Formats: sequence, structure tokens, C-alpha cells
Amino acid sequence: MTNNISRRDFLKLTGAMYLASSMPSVMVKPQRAAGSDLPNILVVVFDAFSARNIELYGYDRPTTPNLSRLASRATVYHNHYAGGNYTFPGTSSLLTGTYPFTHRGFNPRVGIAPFFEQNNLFTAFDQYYRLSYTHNSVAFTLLTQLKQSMDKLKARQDLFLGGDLVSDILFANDEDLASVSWRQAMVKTGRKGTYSLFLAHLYRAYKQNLIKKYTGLYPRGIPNIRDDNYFLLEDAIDWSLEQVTSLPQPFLGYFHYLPPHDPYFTRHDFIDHFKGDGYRSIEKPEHIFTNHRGYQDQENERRWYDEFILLVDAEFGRMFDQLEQTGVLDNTIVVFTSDHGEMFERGITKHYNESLHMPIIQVPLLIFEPGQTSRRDVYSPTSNADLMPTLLQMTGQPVPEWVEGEVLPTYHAGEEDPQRSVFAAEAKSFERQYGEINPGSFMIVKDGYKLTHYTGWEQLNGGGPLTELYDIENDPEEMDELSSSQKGIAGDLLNKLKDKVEEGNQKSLDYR
Amino acid sequence: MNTQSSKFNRGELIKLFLIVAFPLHVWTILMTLRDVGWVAEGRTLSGAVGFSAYVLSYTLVESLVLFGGILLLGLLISKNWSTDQRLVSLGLVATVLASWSIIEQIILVLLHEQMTRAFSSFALLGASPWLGMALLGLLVTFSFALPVFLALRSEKFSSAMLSIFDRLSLLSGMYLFFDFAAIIILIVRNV
Repeated sequence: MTNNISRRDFLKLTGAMYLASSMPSVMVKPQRAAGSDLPNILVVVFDAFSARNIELYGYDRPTTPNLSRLASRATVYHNHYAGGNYTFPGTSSLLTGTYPFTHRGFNPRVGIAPFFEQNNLFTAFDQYYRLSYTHNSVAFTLLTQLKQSMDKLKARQDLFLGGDLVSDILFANDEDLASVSWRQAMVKTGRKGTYSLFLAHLYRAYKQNLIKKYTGLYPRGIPNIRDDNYFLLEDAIDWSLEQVTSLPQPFLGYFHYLPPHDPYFTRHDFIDHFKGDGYRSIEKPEHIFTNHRGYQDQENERRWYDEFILLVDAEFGRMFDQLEQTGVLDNTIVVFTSDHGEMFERGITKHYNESLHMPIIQVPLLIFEPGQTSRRDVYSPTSNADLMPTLLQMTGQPVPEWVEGEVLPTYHAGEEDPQRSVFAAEAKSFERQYGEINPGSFMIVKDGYKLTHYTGWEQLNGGGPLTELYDIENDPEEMDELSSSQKGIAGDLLNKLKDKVEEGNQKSLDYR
Repeated sequence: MNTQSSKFNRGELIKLFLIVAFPLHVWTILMTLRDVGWVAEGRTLSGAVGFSAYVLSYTLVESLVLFGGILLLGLLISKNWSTDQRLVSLGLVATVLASWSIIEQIILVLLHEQMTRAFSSFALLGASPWLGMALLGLLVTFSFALPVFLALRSEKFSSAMLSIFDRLSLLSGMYLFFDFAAIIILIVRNV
């Protein structure tokens, strides 16, 4: 065999190489290692989505017809908890498989413990192509901290309707502070005034012009973040669908959409869908952490929230159906969940609060496996910290020893464990990544009981910590507080909770 | 008083810029003092300094834009006016413009009202907002016209304003120093 090529052949080869290099990259899918039979993973998070407002979980309003339809081929977790009541700890638990007192992701200004920058869901799937996107600036702060662990973190503003010009382009590396300062300086909203005396008017006119074509579609207002960054959930879903049909496989997609987080601006076809439906939630006494919202105001907000959920449900249904039509679903594990819930009771509204009541901490979880045709229901307590070890188990990979979550029922060899303990915490005022957490709210769910322990908050008026115990199996609405009448159970759970928190405090010294 | 040339020299341009920048910076500093507390809360000192740097930088840009607008306005002024008359008139226009914008902001923040509606409520005892807008418009026009008229007709007024502008320029120059420090901070934060 000769190794010589003719001049003609050489020129042909050069031309072919040039042509190949100029082809769009989507036509050349770099195959990643570790076998082509690994399933893709798609984690879909809808922010501030309370399980208590989902008809699949027993809510009296039909808020999620699509989710109910799709649940027939999913594993549905009925007693599932977020890691915290706020995006940063909730998402951190989801992405690290640990509880907040371990990952220390209480506060976006302080960030997650450095250990988890190299030890998280993305690093655990390093043979996958890892892509993430979020509308939420707090979640984006976390994803930015984990950026080195993934192949691509899409900029938030890429899916906004226009940008704020400054933090998007000039100050992308300091996006959080740049966008806060831009908002204070330029965004005319409410009664706060602006720092800018003139350009704010021009900026407002620019933004109004940008969104006016959508006002028919969204008569209540265009969904937005911080009154300025407008977006359409439909655009984010469309983009996500484009990605999953073209990404290198296997891929891990983490898509964290803002709805149904406030403002609750649903699309025109869902407006007033529940108006006059006769639904009334149970009126509950004001809690110590009350925002002093009146019952009727909360009912009105709840209705808007529920109507916003209709949009979320419709869009997830559309996404899922498209995944099926394109064949992506045949080899993709789909996870549907939320980072935390939302609350409209006891004088407390939304989730910017110290409390850990059920609406704010109980979130949906549905897992769709490739080829699954029947529904499974799990009632034992589970946590978003369980997601990472579960996905590793499902894809035949080892679970790191530092992970605190457990493999979810139906995906491990044993039976459901109703006596398992699940935890959550909130401490957004806490400014350190190590040491005793104060002020803080802590929760343990075990044996059908839920105990919360609040300490250091101003509202406690120096009166010492507040402990609340509820029998959530028989009293899911948390009407009868039992810490005085069931001292033994309360004491036992409190000790377990404190031990777990202290364990996290000790670990934090190593993880900083 | 300089009555000779009809064009600004460099020194006069700088003075005019400092006059234009002054009220914008005063307002920004007041608002920063209002907000830096909650910005700093839960953030490090670096966050509070960074926030101040961003807003000062935006104000510098706004000052430059307004300065450009004032210079364009200056092109409409008769060439028969002296540079001092031009300087005083343009400086006053910029100052009155900024003052009205500050008044609008204060009404919004303190009274939670738009300026026209507040004017109708308080000045006209709840009369039609259209009447309020018309009268407010007259008031605003008068507030611009009167100082310019005085600048042209009264040498004493003109001299007094120049003297005030000289003093304000010094203060404004200090704000500019902070603006440039702010830009350096932004570069460091974003590199």
C-alpha cells in the first residue's frame, strides 16, 4: 500500500476539512465517555411551587390537570420537603444532596460552603454534558458559584425580553450587585423613587415599548423579576426543548424557572379561572411571624397564585408532550420539583419569612423514568437532598459519602421507611459559613410528626426559642400545636434535630 | 463679566458641566444614604462600597448625557448673548430642570402621589387633574423663563449666579473625584 497522495487528492482533502470545520456544531455531537446507554437527566424546577396548592396532592382547586394526567406514569412523592423556605438553601440542598446546616447555603451574599463548589450534582455527573439555566437571580448566584462544575451556565438575561443594559453586558461578573444598584437607580416602580433624575424616564419608556406587544397576552402584567426583567415562561420552555434535542448525550439539564413565584401574572387564558369558585381556605390564627396580611387579602393572592399555577401546569404539560413526541423521553429521566413552597395563611404571605409551615416547605416531586407506564405513590417523608443520590443510583453510579440525602423509595432495594427523619432549615440573616446558626428556623419530620424550632429571631422578643409540634399525619393543616401536650415526643424530636444541626455545624468547619 | 467671545472656552465648559452635575450628584448621595443601610445589611462593607460605586457611576453618565443636552440647547441661543449670559442661562436651565425632577421624586416618595395629582389635590383642592397639569405646566415654564430673563436683563443677578456657580463647581469637582474612584472600584469588581 502506498502512502503517497496526489496533489489533486490533497486539495480535495483540504477542501473537505475546510467544509467540515465550517458546519454548524449542532450537526457534530461530541460523544462523551462512559457508554451511550446512560439515560439523560432533566431536572425541572418551578420556583415557589407549594405542594399544598396542587390538586394531585389533594388541593380542592383543579390547578394541575396536566400534572394529574402525567402522574399516571410517574413516581409521585406525597410527603416531600424542600431543604429550606427560600431559594438559596432549597436549591443548594437539591444540588448538593445535603441539608442547609451542612452546605451553609443560607444567604446568597455569603454563598455555599466552598467544599460544595467541587462536590455537587454537576461534578457527580462529570461524564454528562451539564447545562443549567434559571430566571431566578438568587438561584443564579448559586449556579455561578458552581459554574466550574458544569459545561454551560446560560446567562439569565438571554431569555428575558430585553435586558437592563448594564448588569447584562457591562457588569456580568458582578451581576447581583450591579442589578440591585441598577434597579434602585433606574427602575421606576412603586414609591421608592429613583436615583436617576432623567435617564430613568427614558429607561421606563424603553421597557414599556419592549413589553407593550405582550400586554394582551398578559393583561395583569408581564411576568418579571424585580419589576424590570420581563420574561415569558413559554420562551424558556421553547429554549429548553431546543436544547434537549441537540445537546450531546448523555446530558444533565437543570432548568429552574421562576413561575409560579410572585408576581402572580398569569396568562390571559387563565385569568379569573377560579374567581367565584367558592373555594375558601381554612382561616387560621396569626402566627408569631405574621406579616399581618388579612384573610381576604390572602385569599385574593392565593387565587392569583393558583391561576399562575395553571400556566405552569400547562407549560410543563406542553414540555413533557414535546419530549415524548421528539423521542427524548425514551432515554431521559425527568424530575419535576420546586425549591420551596408558598404560603397564604396565618397572616404570612409568600415565602419571605422565618416560618417553616407546611405550605412553605412541602413541595412536589414527580420522577418520570424512561419506559415507565404506571404510577407509583410514595408516602414516607423525603427531601430534595435525596434527589442527587437517587439520580446516581438510577444511573448506576456511586453515591459520595458526604451526601446526607438517601436514595428515594422505589429506587433502592428496601421498603419505604416511614420512620425516616427529614430536615429543613432557614437562616437567611446568618452571615457565616460555619459555626452555630443564629438566628435560625429548623425542622424535623419523623414518625408522622413535624417539629419546628425557631431561635434568635426578633419576633421572639428575647423570650427564648419557640418550638412547635404537629401531628401532620392526622392534622395536616397544623391546627393543633402539641408541644405542651406531647412533651415526650417533642423532646425526643428536638434532641434529634439539635443533634443533626450540631453535626452540620461541625462538618461546616471542614467544608469552609 | 466676560462679554467678549460667544463660544465657551475649556474652563467654561468644565464649569458648566460641574453645574449640571451638581444637583444630580446631590440627589444620588441623598438616596444612597437612604438605601446603603439595607444594602449593607447582610453584605460586607465591600458590597456597600460597590453599591455606592455603581450608583455614582450611573450618575456620572447621566451628568454627561444631560450636559450634552444642555450644550445642544446652547446652540439655539442667540450669538448676541455673551458667554457669561450663556453660561448663567444654561446653568440655570439645568438647575431648574433637575430641581423639578427632584421635587417630583420627593412628592412620589413622601406623599406617594404623582406630581400632577398632588398639585391638583393640594393647590387646587381636588380640581380636575387636567387643570392641575395645565397650571403646573405654566408654573414650570415660568420657573425656566424667569431666571433666564433675569440673567439677560440684570448684570447684578448674573454676577451673583456666576459667583454661586463658582462655589458649587468646587463642591461638584469633589463629587467627580468620587465618581472616578467609583469607576476604578467597578473595574476591580468586574475584572
